[in-house]
Amino acid sequence: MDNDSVLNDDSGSLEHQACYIYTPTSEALSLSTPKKRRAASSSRTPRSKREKIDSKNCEIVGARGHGFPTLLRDLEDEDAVNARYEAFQRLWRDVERRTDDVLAQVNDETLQSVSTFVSKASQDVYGEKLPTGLILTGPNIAAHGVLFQQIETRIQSVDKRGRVAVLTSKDSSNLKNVLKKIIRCITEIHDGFDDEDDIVEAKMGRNVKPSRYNYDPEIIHDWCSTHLDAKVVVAVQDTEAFDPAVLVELISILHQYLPKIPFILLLGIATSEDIFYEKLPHSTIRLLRGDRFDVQRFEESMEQVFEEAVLSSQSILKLGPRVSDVIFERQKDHTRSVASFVMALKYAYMSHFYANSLSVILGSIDSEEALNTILSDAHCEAIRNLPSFKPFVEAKISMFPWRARDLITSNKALKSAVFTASQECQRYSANLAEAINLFRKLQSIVSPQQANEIPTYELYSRILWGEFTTRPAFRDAMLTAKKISSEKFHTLLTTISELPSQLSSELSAARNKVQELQSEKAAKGSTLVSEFALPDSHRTTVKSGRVRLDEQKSKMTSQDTEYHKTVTSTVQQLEAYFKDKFKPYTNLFLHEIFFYDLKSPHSQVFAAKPRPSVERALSRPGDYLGCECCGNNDDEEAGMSGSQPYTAILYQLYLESPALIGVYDLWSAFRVVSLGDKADQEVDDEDEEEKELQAQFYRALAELRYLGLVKYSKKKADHLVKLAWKGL
Amino acid sequence: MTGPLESRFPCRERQINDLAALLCQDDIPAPPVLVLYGTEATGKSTIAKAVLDEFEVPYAYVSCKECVTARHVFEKAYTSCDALIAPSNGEDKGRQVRPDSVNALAGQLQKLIPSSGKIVLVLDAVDKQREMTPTMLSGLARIGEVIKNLTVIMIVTVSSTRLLNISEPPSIHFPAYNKEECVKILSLNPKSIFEVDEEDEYSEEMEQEDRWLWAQCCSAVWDIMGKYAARNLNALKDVVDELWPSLIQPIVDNEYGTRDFPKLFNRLKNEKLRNSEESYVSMQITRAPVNTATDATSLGPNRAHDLPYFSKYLLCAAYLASFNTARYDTRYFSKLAESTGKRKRVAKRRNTSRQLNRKHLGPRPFQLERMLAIFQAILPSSVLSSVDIGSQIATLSSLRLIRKVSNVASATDASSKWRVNVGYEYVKVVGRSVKFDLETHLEE
Repeated sequence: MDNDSVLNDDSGSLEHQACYIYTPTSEALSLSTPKKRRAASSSRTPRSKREKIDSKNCEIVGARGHGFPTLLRDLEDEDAVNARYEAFQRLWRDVERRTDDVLAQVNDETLQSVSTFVSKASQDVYGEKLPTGLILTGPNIAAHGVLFQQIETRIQSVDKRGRVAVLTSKDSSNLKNVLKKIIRCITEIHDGFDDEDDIVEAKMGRNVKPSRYNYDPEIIHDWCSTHLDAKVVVAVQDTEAFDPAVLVELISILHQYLPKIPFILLLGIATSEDIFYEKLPHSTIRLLRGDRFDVQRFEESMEQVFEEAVLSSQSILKLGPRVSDVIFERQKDHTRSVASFVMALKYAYMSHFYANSLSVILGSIDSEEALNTILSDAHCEAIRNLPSFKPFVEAKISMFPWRARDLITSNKALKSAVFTASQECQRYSANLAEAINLFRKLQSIVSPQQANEIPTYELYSRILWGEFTTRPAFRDAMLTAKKISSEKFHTLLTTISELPSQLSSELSAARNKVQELQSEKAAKGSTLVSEFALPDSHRTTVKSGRVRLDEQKSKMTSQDTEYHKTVTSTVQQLEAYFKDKFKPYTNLFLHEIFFYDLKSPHSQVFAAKPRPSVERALSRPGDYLGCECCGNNDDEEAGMSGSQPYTAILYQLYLESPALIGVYDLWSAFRVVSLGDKADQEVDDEDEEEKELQAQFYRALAELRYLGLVKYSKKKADHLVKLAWKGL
Repeated sequence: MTGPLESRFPCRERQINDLAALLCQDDIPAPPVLVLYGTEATGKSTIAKAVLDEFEVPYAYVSCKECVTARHVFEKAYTSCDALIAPSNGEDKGRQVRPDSVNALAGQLQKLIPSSGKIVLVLDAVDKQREMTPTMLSGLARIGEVIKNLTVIMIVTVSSTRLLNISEPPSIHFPAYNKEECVKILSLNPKSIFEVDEEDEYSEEMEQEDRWLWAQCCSAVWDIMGKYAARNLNALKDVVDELWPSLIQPIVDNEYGTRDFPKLFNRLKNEKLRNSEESYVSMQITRAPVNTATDATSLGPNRAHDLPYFSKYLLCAAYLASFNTARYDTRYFSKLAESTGKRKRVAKRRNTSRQLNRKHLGPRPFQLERMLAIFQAILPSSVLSSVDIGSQIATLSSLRLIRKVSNVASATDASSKWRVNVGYEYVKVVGRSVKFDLETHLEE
């Protein structure tokens, strides 16, 4: 049986198939409409109703209640499929819950300070100025909505400091609309906020409303008279995109009403303060006074989420180095958003459990019996086909040949080996997380510069490859650990001995010793120095340098020598520890199951390439059509032939032409290519073939136009303007 | 008669007297319209209100800056007059009236206002109204002519004969305060040096010290910043308020006496003004961390939120596309070395002709396709375009770092036109963070 197809039936086929044709069944079509409607009205639909619809959908999806396919060439049991689905649900829910907790805390500090700012802002502090909070949100737009939502709930529902009106640039068409939106947000009746007052307000509102224009800020004033302590917070989510003219007007209006209404302005700034200041006139800025709040940077929150979602021993499925490289490269180059990392991680879980039949093992690693019952013969066969099975057996052969034979012949023996191997895998990842943690701490003390440069999530994939201990980054860290001063070394030992690890007892012993020596030495009024920490000689000749070194050596006391020994042994211990823990994961049996490491699904799903695909399809149609006639081999790169689709021929001609294309030239070239040898014959207008070709030409041209590649030129009659160049 | 007012508002004796004479003589009818004009913070509204209050002339006050539309002004004018005339019973019936033009307002007011007794309608900052129609001001000015015992006071920044289309309306000018006047006015309410406890008596002596130091401080700040940062009374007061705590700090700490003003001020200048004088000019919202240079660098790039790697290159490409001419693109972005040498001579000749630097002419629109080409050219390694690139362009445009100029339906249409929306300094810093040298690719 083919390895790949057993392992990843689905993703495997995904790689080899050139293109897919989506033909929705009538059932799917009829399904899609109510879904849409549901999405639109979801905010209004009560929960119970929604759940009902959901369950209905599920029934249609399949009798199983989920869409997971039967793998292993249909040899997989129904139970195993269900177990895979359940394992996915259980494990992912756990990860999701933990990441959500982390994410909820990420903004907590900012929220807290904003909320305090709002409660403290009063006329006594800011006088006639409009209290303004600048919230530096960072350029990740997707997170802004969430952040402002959090601010709203925090101020409005949790801390009950007043009402919040969140404005986005979509509201900024004119001042009237902005004011209307603010008034609507402020005076709307919310649940759970001063219920009694709301009734009064609603009554009053009915009296007052007809006499005021619906954009009159006096309405808020009326509201304020019933809510004496409440602040009115106006938050602008995307200040950059907000029409500056409207913003200026808005600020001046808010400032005008400040004596009557306790307005507070919050401005979300995604780029930089300087750009914000450039945009507003000084007279407007002078009306504002306040404070600046920073949201946690992407790197920090990413680190936290990564540690919780991937490194934590609670997450059983880990990311492999290849896939984490893909994910984090995309993070760095393109998105820089934690939410997109969580999506990528979820996709990794999904595709692992969906397409890898052996992922069922992850669901029952805790009990051997459960594992034994769920693993069928087909599963065992699949395990024997794993790449990591071969080295595992080979290693056994030399020592226990009969065990190796058992593994191949007896399913029972294999199952127990699987159980121990899965324990081993978990132990490996736990140790790895521990060692990474220890190394990060060490690095942050020894060389903080380097620790800043390489975040944990990048370190992770390097370590998984198993070469990290030979890298300069590792050697540097170890060397500098030897060279640092004795006080620093002491703090280093204190910090890392507190971390749970195998070495903690040795490290704390070393720490005690260093402390002892330090106090002895301090009594004499000097500090501990090891040989490593001696200053480098600046003498020019080797000999004189050596002389000086000897001098310094002779000055060293017995404590210093003792200390030197401790440093040497401790660093050696650490090095051995790291080398032991940072082994490549590929040495493990069953690593394919505990480490998800398929690159192509991620790169294809998350970074679709519509434009290169269209260009490739048009310039090398053979790649997609896979037919004999066109593009049969790679040698003729840009080969044009009459057998290709007409649009493709026209596109290739288009690529060769300048920015302004004469339609007649294009037509004659097109005719030559598509007719081939026959093109030399005399042109006969009445010829049916010629007419058909012309029609095809127009059709192809229309298609190019539809794709946005050409448009008709206004400068010259019967000419086309080239709009798109290949490869951009 | 105007004595108490004059002591409350020094340096405005003439204006107070004029106002009192025009409006508050019982036996002489008031003019139908009166214009008060002067620049910002010269006491127009305050004095008008104070005079009217003092002489108990019934008046309705409408701040036009508070109003969103013209109809809003009319509505407010009507309701405030209504409240003035029938303060108790008018609640329900009066509020239903919404005059939506000057005519309607005049008609409604005519019905409302009794034929005897003076009434004044103050329209503050009427020229700052947001929805100004050409006839609105002159219409409002003529309401006083329609209704006999109504006087309309219009408070504006600049008065001209064209303003109201009335020949020579009575008007009172409020000139800007000069240095002595500013100091005198600010000295009315000096801040105290020491925190005054309930028990301690605020002695005469202390008050004198406060007064003296405050006046010194005001005049010194005027000398330094009066020309540009603190052009009017309010701005001056802001700056003095801001500086006062740090000025008196040494006194509170018992380092200097209260009369050591030159020393105090020198110290202040060295500590605060030298570094942040600029920030007082540009008036930042947050005042806190403008401290020392070392602080700024440590906060520097590490603290700032970063754009994704390719977004930075896209922004650089957009800048280059905006400030370079399309026909020289091959010279700056072609990877063939040979073409550059040949064309440099052409460039030199062009430089002799009198032309402005491109940088000063502002960004010009470019086609998206050209930006993408430049983007590919300046990247150290080529990248296949994907959805991510498109979404980054969209992000940049919603951050308004670049913006779309043409009205093509689809944002990423190849023929849509764009323009970079940030300055050279910002893009240079962005470019430097990805080790891209903007200068070498930029047209001279």
